[in-house]
Order: sequence, then C-alpha cells, then structure tokens
Amino acid sequence: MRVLLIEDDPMIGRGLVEALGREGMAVDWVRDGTEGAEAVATGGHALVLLDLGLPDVDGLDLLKAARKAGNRIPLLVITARDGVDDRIAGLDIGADDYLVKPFETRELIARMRAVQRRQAGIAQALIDVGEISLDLASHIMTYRRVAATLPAREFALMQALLQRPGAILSRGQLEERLYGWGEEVESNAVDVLIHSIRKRFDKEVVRNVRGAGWMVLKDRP
Amino acid sequence: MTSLRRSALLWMTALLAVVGALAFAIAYEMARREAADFLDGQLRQVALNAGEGLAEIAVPTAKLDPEDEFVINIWNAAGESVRKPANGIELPRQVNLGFSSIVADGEEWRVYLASDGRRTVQAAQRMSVRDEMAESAAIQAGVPVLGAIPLAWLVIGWALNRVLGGLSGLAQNIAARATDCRDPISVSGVPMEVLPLVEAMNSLAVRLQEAVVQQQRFVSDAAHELRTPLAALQVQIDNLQATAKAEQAEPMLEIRAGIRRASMLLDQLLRMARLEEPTDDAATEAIDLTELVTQCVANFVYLASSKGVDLGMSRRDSASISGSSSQLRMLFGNLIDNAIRYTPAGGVVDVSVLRVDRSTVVEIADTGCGIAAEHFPRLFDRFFRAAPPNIEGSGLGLAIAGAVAKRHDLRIALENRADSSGVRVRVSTMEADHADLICS
Repeated sequence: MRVLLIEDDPMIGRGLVEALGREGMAVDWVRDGTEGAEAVATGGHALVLLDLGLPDVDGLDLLKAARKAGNRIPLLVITARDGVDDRIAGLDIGADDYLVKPFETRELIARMRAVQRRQAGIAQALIDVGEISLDLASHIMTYRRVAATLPAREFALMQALLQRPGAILSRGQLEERLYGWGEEVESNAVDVLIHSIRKRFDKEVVRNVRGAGWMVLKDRP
Repeated sequence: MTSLRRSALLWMTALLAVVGALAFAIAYEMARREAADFLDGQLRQVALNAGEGLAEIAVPTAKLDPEDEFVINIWNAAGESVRKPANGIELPRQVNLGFSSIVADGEEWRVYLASDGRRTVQAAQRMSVRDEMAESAAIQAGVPVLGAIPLAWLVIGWALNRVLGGLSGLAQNIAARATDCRDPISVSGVPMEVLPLVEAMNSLAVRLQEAVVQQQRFVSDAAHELRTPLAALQVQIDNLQATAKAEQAEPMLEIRAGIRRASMLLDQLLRMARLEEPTDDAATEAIDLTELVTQCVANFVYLASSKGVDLGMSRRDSASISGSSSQLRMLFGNLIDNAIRYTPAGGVVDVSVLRVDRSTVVEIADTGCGIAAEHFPRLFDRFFRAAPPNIEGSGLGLAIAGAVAKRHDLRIALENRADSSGVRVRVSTMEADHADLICS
C-alpha cells in the first residue's frame, strides 16, 4: 500500500515513515501544503495522512480543495487541534477519520485499515470494533483470534451491541432488538445469550455494567 | 487614606474661621474708631456742662461699671480746685486745652480740658472703655460667623452623605460583578465628578478582559503546541518497541505512561482554557441526563475492570437537563474517573441518577481512601491534589468539574461516607439543597 504523508514535523515524519514501512507500506512524505496538494492531485496513493498545522497552507483548506476537485482518496487527519468545532469541520469537509496527537502508532494503523476497508465497501459486510469483528454475511465472529459462527439470537445480540460500541444497552433495549412484538420474552433470555457468547470466546467479550446493562468496548485496550 | 468628608469639613472650618477672625478684626477696628469719635464728643459735652455737681448722698445709686465713670475736675480762675471727682481719682491738670491721652497710675486716660477764663473744667475717661465697646462690637460681628462652623459641619455632612450614598450603590454594583461580565458599568445616576473614574474603570475592565483572553489563548496555544513534540516522542517510542530487547520492556512502559500523563494533562489544560471562554448560549441543548451519565459510566468500564474496581449504577431514574453535553460529559467523566482512581482493587464505585421532588441528583460513591478534612477547602483549586502520590492525576479534574457545574447552575457536594470508607459526590440541580434527606 502506498501512503502519502503530509506532515511538517521532521521527527513525527521520520518516525511514521519507519513505523508504516515496518507494516509493509510505502510512504511518500512531503513537508508542506503546496507539495502536498500537488501529490494529492497527482494521485497514485491508497491513502493520505494529513497534518492540519502545515507551515504554508491550512490542512483543512487543502482537504476542502481536494474534495471540491472531486478527489475521493481515503484521507485521515492527524492534528494537535481537538476543539469540537475542528473535529466537526474535519469530518464535514470530507476527512474519513480524525486522530488527535499524540497517538499510538498501532491506533493509527488500525484506523488507516478501517478507513481503507470502508472505502473499499467492505464496511457493509463486516463490523469491526475494538478486538471484535463480526461478518454480517456469514455470522462469523472473531475475538482475540478465536472465530465462531453465531446462532441467530446471539448474532442479533452481538450486532445490536456492535452497532453502538462503547455504549451501554439495557436489558430492555436488548430485548427490543431480539424479539418481535408480542413475542414471549423469558426473563433471563438476555443473560442466557450473553453467557453462551462468553463461553464461546471469553468473559471480557461482552462487559456487564452493574445496574445499567451490557456493552462492548469501542477501542482496543 | 484621604477622606472626602474630612477634607471638606476641614477646609470649610478653616474658611469659616478665617472669615470669622477677619469679621472680628474689622468690626473691632471700626467700632473702636466709631467709639473714639462718639466718646470724645461725650467727654466734651460733659466738660462743657459740668457744674458744681451734686452731693454724693443725694444721687440714687445705680449699678455702673466703675470703668465707665467720668473723672471731672473743675478749677476757678485762681487755680483752686472747685470740684474734685467723687471717686477720689487724682489726675494731673493738663496744660493744653482740648483732647489729649495720658497715662496715670498705669492706666490710659482720654482727657478733655476746657476753660472760659473763669473756670477750667477737665473731664477724663478711661481708654479701656473704648476697647470694651470695640470688643463687644467685634464679638457681635465675629461670633455668628464662628457659630456657623458646627452648622456647616451638619450641612456638609448631610450633603456628602447624599452624594456618597449614590456612590455606595455604584460600589455594590461593581462588587457584585462576575469576573467574566463584559457589560460596562452603568453610568446612570453617577455624579458628574465621579464619571471619569467610572469611565476609567470601564476602560481598565476592557483591557483586563483582553489580557485574560490573551492568557487563555496562550494556555490553549501552548497546550496545542506541546502535542506535536509529544506525538513525535510517541511515534519514536513505538518504533523503538518494535526492535526492543526484553529487558527494555519496563522502561518503555514507563516512558509510555509518562507520555500518556503529559497528554492527559494537556487535554485537561485545554478543557480548562475552553471552559474559561465566554459562555456560548447556542451550545445549550436539552439532554437526557440518565443516558448521558450511563454513557460516562460506559467510558470508564475498561479502566475500572482493568483496576479490579466494580463500577456500576445503583439507580437510573429518568431525568433531563439543559446545557452543553460535552461539558456535562467532562463533569461526570472527571468525577467517575476520580472515584475509580481513588478506589483500590476490589472496591466498588456506584453511580446513581435520582429524581428528588422536582430536582435531580447524580451521585457517585466510592470505597476509596476518603478525603482528609484539611483538604476539603482546596479541592476545587487548580493543580491541587489531595491524592496520595502513587495515584496519577492532573489536579485539574475537580477544578474543571466545578467550572462546568457553575455554568450549569449545578451544586457539587463532596463528603466522606458515613456508611463505609470512601467519598460520596453529589451533583444536584440547585433546588435539591435538601436532597440529603432522601439519599441514604
């Protein structure tokens, strides 16, 4: 995979070139916005890493211009700005993801892969959250290198949890997703399903929050 | 310190004293001259009309000032004394006719000598009579002026009270101002003389406000700028890890933890700086508080489980609030974060959302080490840390929570639990001051 890195800080630039190189990516590194815009326009990269605080051009302007010109290249913003407004601006203008400095390299690489998968249209077929991935077509779930095909109810429960990663779903909310109207719900149905899922993988795959409900972690710990 | 009242009274007193003294002096001088002319005329009349005189016993007694008495001598052509003064005062016979001033027995006398050849009459009167008359005239002129001094004190005091009373209203207005209030101090009803002062205060307030904004911008800029070298460090350490030997694992972890700490501190600094910016009313929205608190709990599930702390919710009444969801997330996030940090492995952190009458209480109770009594007054101070040194933290968590609470009219109450070790934090809407009755 060939990646375009637009970053003015030499230490971050060198470090990322090395880190991404180790992951088997070829990195073209440019240090200012003018060169960056040219490189984006030239094309040939699978993904762009864009720093917003460039010396000559505001990264957001560069992104805006590229999107306006119809360039749909996957683009991940890395920046020191984290104001809510900056975040919204970044995504509205057409960044595919947004990572605030400082970040761990593995987090960056995970996000880059996710952006790429989304771009490739795999997103509809695969939910990928933290350490869990769930194939919506085959109902195969993978967690910490253990894979298993889920029965229908367990699949529905996991799908409900994975659609809102990092959020707690109450028993009522889960039952709503699992059962149609008028369908008899056994009082411990959710517990039984969760117990079964945990048995297949690990206790930590679905977290119970006392008094509130269940959740899956959003980020890889 | 200079007192307007004291200065006014002092100067007014001085002025009245000078005026009084001048009036006294002028009246004294004028009355003296007047008296001199008048009394000389009298003396002359007495001399011209003096006769043999009456026997002392025949004259009805009257209470008279002996000073005022005339001393009359009459001599015949031969120079024999025909009449001697009844009071026995001996004055030498003058040589020159007419008025003259003499000193006899240590007293000053005004003397008039007249002669028609057959008789010579000498009438005399003490000079001190004239001084007395002048003095009394001067006192009459001066005393009323001096008497006006205490009156002036009263009037000036009253007038100043009236004017300064208006100023105390202004002072209350200024004292009650919030530090982030941007409206200028109202000048209506301010005395004209004080107007420049108020205007100067307003201009100072504007300049101070600008300085504060610059300061906040500096903090925010500095925090942002520090993130880039921190990111560079993080990338480098990640690269190093890929080729690290086993014995380097531990220092690597320490370095990572250091970067994480610095990064968290920067985040908190940025939040603090952002909270100090003026309130943006547009950011206010209706929020499902129960959902928001549940979400905050969810955000700490991993931290709690990795620490071996049982984080859960004991009550979830449905409640809503209006405000900024990002700020409220910071508030509850910081409180839950603190509770988990201060609770040792095996401990419990309980979060509840309670509806109490018409008010709402969010309660976070932990089974940690509690708060030492002497730390309570400083808990909301920036960079104050009540934690034992082995617990990480920026010292900004509660300061931020406090600032958010203030913006949302929420009250934060912290107390050591009575039922176990640990702390109970209660965030309540303002009406819930009596909530203590309901929460166990």
